[in-house]
Amino acid sequence: MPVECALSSDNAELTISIVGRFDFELVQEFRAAYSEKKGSRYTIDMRATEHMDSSALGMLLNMRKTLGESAKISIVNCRPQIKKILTISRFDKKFSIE
Amino acid sequence: MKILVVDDTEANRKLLSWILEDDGHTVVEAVNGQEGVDLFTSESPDLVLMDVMMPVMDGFDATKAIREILGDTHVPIIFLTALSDDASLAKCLSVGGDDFLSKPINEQVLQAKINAHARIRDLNEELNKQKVELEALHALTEREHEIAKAVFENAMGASLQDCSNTRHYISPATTFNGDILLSAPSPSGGLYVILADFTGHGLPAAIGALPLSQTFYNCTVAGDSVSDIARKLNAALEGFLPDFMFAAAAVLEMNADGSRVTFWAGGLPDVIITDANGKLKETVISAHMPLGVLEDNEFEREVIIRHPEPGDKFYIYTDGITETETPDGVMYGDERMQALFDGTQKDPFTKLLYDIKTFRGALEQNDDITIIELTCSPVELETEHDTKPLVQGKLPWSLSMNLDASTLNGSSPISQIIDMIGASPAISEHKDYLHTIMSELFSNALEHGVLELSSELKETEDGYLEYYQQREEKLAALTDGNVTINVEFILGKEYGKLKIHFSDSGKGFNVKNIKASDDSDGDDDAFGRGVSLIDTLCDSVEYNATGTAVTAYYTLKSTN
Repeated sequence: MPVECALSSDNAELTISIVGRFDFELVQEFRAAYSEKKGSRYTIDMRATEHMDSSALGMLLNMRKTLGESAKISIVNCRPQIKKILTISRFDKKFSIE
Repeated sequence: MKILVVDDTEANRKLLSWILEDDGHTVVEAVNGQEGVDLFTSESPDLVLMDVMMPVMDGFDATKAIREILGDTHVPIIFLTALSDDASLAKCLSVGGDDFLSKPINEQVLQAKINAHARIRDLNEELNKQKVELEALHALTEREHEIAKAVFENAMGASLQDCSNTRHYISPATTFNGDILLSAPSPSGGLYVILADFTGHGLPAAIGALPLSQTFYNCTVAGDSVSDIARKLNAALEGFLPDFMFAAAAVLEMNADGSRVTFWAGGLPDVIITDANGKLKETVISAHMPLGVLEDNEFEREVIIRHPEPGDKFYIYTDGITETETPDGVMYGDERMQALFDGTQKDPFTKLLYDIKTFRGALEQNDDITIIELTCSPVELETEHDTKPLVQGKLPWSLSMNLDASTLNGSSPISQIIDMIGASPAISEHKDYLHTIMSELFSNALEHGVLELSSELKETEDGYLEYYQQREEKLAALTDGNVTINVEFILGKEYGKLKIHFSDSGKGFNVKNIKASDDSDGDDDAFGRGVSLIDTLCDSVEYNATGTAVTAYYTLKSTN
């Protein structure tokens, strides 16, 4: 599964892991991952994400819009090249990027 | 049997020889103590009959000398004596004799004694043989332990990543440690730690370390998540260890800036979390079964996630600490341990180790003890970077691809192009950025050029979905149209350069329309970021006047 969801044992934190390419082919799956709004805190785990393109950036922004500005969303474990793309697109303003 | 007869009286020697040879023994004769010792050395008899009073050297001294020569091996020495006072008889035994016979010799008693001592000698020989075997076996075992230890140490080599965030203490109860502590960097700059305590200790427990460490390192290199690592370790151990063996363990990952700790724990004592001053914040119970118990499909992979403050500390340890006992059998226990973390101790870690040692007193350590302290701060690994100059390709080349309607309606060609050009040494380091650049250029050419989709659709979340649905439908219905891709490698003075050219059969689109404005109000738009990405990652990007072609340049600089 390219999009995997795991709730932490105290149900507080939803971790969404993206495996392989993060692009428009995941648009529905990714949306489904957060739309049930489980957990009070969201983490996008990019450890296994090899590439992302601008459609993935759009998907992340949509997630932010849906969950609202106050939702805690972290993007974690980015490889350097992915981090650069996020930084270029100034996503650090909207997400906490580790 | 070969029997040495030592007697200065010829008649005695002849009489004895006659009796003994008649019984099938071989007889060697010596005329005094000195000759007896010499013949003993050269003839190696199985039994000695020794007269006491002799010229040159008497029987006592000769016996002492023979015992000296014999060392640990046993050859019976029987005194033949005319003396009958108790003191003399006692002396016969105290100098090393085994028995005595009074002269004149009674033939039957002589034969009985010889047989009795032959039996003792046989027993002794058997015992010695077993002792030699036992010693050889022991030496072999020790050697095997040495080999196992060497293999073990190599397999676990550099098992702990040098890292200023961790401190640890490892104290095995025997040569082999049933506790395993490993750490490794994660691909995203964080740190992985695993502490495992196998059932039992010594060699059998240590064997489990091999599959565990191999699996762990495979996972950390791949950058697996904590729950995946735990699951894989469980599967490895479940398949590898006998049923009664398993490992209580904690697997932990701290992210690069130390602001997030994810861990899985099964069967270990409570994890202790303190603030920077060493004051207890929380203890976290190991909720899961140890590794190697559950089958893969029953495995519980839920993890615990904490967002520590800078300087917070995590303590993970094996029950060797809490189960340390005083000589009276009082256990150290959780309470005593947790009391150390009241914020008054300057260095609770060192204090704990000191406490344990004094608590145990003169008692020997009877279980493996391992503890690791992890400080939550940006991960500082002590590693060396190798900066080797980048090899620039020596030959210029170019690649072109013309994709028509039928080939466009497949998966993206970009991965394949990147695989092809990425084989060149100058390029491999840039594969990821080139993948992004070319994916964006391709999406624009296909979606806005050939398929004539409008970005405006993407303004709402539903529109976003709609956009990609339309893309799919239009692509499936596509009969006409093409995208041409050219990639050219141009040699440069220092670094090579790529010229990337895309053109499409569409009507042309205005790049400005799909470019998100850089003003603050444009930040929320879920579209138009591709063009800015391309601009930033490339040296220069030029679109033709009609918007049907684009040329981008990318310098293959070494980023190290």
